[in-house]
Amino acid sequence: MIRIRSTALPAAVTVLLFVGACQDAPSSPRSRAEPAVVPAPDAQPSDVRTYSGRRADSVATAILATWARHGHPEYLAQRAASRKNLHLAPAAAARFVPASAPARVLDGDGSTGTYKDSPRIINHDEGFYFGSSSGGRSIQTLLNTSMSFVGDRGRIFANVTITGPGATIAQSETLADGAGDPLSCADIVFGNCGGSKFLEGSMVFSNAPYCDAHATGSATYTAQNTDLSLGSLVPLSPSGGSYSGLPATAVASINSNSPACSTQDNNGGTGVGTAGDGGDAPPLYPDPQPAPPAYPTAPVSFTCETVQWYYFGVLETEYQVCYAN
Amino acid sequence: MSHIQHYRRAVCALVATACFISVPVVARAQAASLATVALVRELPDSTARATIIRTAAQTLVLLRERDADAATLASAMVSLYRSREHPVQSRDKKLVINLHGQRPLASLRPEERKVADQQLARLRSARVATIDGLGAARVTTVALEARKSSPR
Repeated sequence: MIRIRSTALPAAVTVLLFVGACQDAPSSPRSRAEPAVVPAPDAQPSDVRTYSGRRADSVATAILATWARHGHPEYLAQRAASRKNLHLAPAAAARFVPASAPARVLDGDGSTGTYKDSPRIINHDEGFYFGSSSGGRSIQTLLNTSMSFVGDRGRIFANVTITGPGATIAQSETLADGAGDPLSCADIVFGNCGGSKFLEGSMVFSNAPYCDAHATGSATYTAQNTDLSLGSLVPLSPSGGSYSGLPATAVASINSNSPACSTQDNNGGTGVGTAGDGGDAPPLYPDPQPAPPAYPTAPVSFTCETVQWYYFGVLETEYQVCYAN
Repeated sequence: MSHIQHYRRAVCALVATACFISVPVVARAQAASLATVALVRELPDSTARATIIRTAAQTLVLLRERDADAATLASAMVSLYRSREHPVQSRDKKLVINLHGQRPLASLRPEERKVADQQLARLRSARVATIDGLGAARVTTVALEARKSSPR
């Protein structure tokens, strides 16, 4: 029990006065939708942050929601459509799902061998969204990657170079590395989940060029089984001629062009590209060529919350959500 | 409700608390409009910057003693106000929010930072109490603005 000794009724009255003063005026207008991103003068030129797992999803959704409020709802709609059939197990349930255990089978010679499903990457997706800074809005540049895979662990590594007038930003980073979230798991009690999992990572750039710019690079996806008995990332030994521990890898190219710079909006362009498809048409350079634009100075920091609801002391629901600071 | 409104309420709460030197209150049974802010040695989630625990009877904001600053306190209060859009009405329910990341210190306006610094200083010199499961901690009580429905 926490007891806090007190003084004063006057203090409490003062508090009430302060609280009252802070109340919103009932008649004052309220902004219904404010940008998730606000300018921060202290943003560093090469500020890049990465987010993995459900935070990556939340951050990507937050940025695309900002785009939706500024005339491009199709980005968010496309993302929603591409994830329509993505059935992630609730986080609270996912934690009870055991890592895929090796199955013991009888070899032809009568001995038993230990096998796992070979790791494989079922599919992967990359989205590159140039940011924007014009008309009072500031939206960060986003690379969002995800994959569904079979294996004990997955890893997403991205290597991106963004080049634009007066600036080049190159970043290589692991966006996600872990067991992933189980997909379409119908039997979380016994872990008969088919072994497919989902992993996601986002890279957020603050001051990347966003008009007359070009992004190139690659995303490398890796799925791997591990030797659980050792509790580390040691591939399983070859067993029965099956090298189930060898990783599976997929590489996707990132190649995207931003729209041309515009002189009417502080040289800020807007646009989105799809990684791997060659991007949009090459930008048209105005004549005369504008001075290098002032790239976004938006902060890339997000505050992420892990929210847990307990019922009778048992974890009932857990989710993660991020908010732009 | 927007971030700015949450933030405004959080700052208002800090201002109010600056005057709220001490009030007779049993934290276990504190009203919903009060929150206990505590400086603890370690948070339940070692990777978190702050933890908010809400039950029907109590609201607890935990900050880690060694790295709590004005931005941490401000971020925690914003999260607390945001979370109040989800009332914890049943006595059997408990809401735990672990905060990862926070507002940049430089993003606080001077007056906001001043208030948060003052409140944090008050917290660092507050009396020590024992919190179940967490041990000794310095605690103060914060008055929260009444929860209002969001504009539609």
